[in-house]
Amino acid sequence: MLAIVFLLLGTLASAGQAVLAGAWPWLGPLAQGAGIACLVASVRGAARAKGLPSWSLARQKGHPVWLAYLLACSLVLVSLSLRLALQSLLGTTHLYITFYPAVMLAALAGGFGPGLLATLLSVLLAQGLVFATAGQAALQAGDGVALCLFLGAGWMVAASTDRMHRALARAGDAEARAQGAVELERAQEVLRRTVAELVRSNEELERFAYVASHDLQEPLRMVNAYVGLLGSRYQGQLDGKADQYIAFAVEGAERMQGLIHDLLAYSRLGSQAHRFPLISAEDALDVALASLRSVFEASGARLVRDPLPRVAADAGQLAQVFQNLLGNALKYRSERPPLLRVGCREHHGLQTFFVKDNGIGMDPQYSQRIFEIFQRLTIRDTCAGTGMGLSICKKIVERHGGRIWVETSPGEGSTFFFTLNDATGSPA
Amino acid sequence: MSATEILLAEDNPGDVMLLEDALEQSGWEHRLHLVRDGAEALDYLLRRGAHAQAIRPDLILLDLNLPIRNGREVLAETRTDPEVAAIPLVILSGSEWEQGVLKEYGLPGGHYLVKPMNFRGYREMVSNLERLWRNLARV
Repeated sequence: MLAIVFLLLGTLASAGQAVLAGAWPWLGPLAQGAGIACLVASVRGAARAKGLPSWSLARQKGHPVWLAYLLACSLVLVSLSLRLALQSLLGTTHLYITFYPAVMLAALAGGFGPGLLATLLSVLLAQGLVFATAGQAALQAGDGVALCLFLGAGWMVAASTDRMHRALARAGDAEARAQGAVELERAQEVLRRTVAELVRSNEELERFAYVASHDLQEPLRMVNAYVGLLGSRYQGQLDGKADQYIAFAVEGAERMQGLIHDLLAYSRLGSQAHRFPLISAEDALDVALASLRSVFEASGARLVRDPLPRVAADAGQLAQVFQNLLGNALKYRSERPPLLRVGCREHHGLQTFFVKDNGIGMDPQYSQRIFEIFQRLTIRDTCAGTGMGLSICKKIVERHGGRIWVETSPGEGSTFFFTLNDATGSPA
Repeated sequence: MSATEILLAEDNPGDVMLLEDALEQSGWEHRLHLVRDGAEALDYLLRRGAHAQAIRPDLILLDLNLPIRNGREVLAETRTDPEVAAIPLVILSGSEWEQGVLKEYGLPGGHYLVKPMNFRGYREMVSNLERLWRNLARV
């Protein structure tokens, strides 16, 4: 609004200047100076009024550049007509009087380029006007001061509005950026809250599993120990059925003990990935074999060991993976004497460990399900186990940033493969 | 050799009975002093209140999962007492997962045993305890 007022003031000032100059020619240079001052002040005023008038093209988003130049040319032509109308009154004096508003309007609307174009075009047309009305001589004797003043004023007006245009563009950008930042912040906040909620519920679950399995062990131990005592002290003193009841109770308690033990082990694995030190997979395999020694000896199994690399891993957990996989291989053996092979090879560029057996194998359709918690494929009597061994393997492997899978078919044995965080693996 | 004074801090009567039976059968000459919660264990070890005249035990068997004050609190409050800290300590726990407690409370000389699943296990544990105690007593 203020910009419009300044604009009107500037235009009135230049028009008044023309009238004054017509009445009192000696006032000419003074009036012209005042007019220019008014024009510049009006542009400055518009700038101080924080921005361009609302009709400025810079305010209209996505306007084509040529439109501002076209507008500049049109304004200059209008000024020329106006100047021609005043020709009888002014002659060749006050040559640029009507061109000032054109320059100002062109600059305000389009910025520096259109402002400068209007200035230069005005000079050209004004000089043409002089040439047309007073001839070559008048052109050569033209008013140098007025020309310089006009050029200077045009330049200043164009430059001033250009600063305004730039400021406006920056403000627009900043506004868009601020808006974007607010939205990003909001999205990040939502994400943060979701992650925190996930972490919390995960921790709660693990804590629950831990507490449950830990506290369940206590009464179970009592059941187990006292049913066992009952069995050993009173075996044969009761009837045969009683002995069988006791045997079932002992067996049930022991099975449950196994389940709780594995559930506890599973819940204690944690899910956060850590940075693991480089350890020898050979050593981890040794630890696993030591735990399985009696089972190995009882089964008469033969083991082929390939050289294993050093890997970034938790030594105890890697040993646990080997132990569970080898234990399974022995548990699900066929009639043939068990033949196991443990090794590591490059598989799609990853260090891939494998545990191969010649056991009963399984239908490949179950190759996903076996890794789920408490999932077992055999009926209870055939093979003892809690159904958690492979879930534990999967959790350990995933915690190490790897994956585990099986290739198998019934009667052909199984090969379990797993990768760890490959990037840190290196040959021994 | 005189009877070994054993302090057992254990709240579960089932565990107490299994241990008592196993001790009886082992032939290890002993006197068992029983405290049923952590607060009583602290009173006994620090000779406070009703236990002001308590006999200094030769061996402490401490369950971690005690009521009122748990086993960890007992460890935390007694390890600074040089007399109590000098007594051989065996932690009895329901699970194998709390072994870190010894390191946590700066007890490198302490022992950690998982409570056995059956009576045979208790008898084995008692004979191991006796062997351990005799080794310590000889030193």
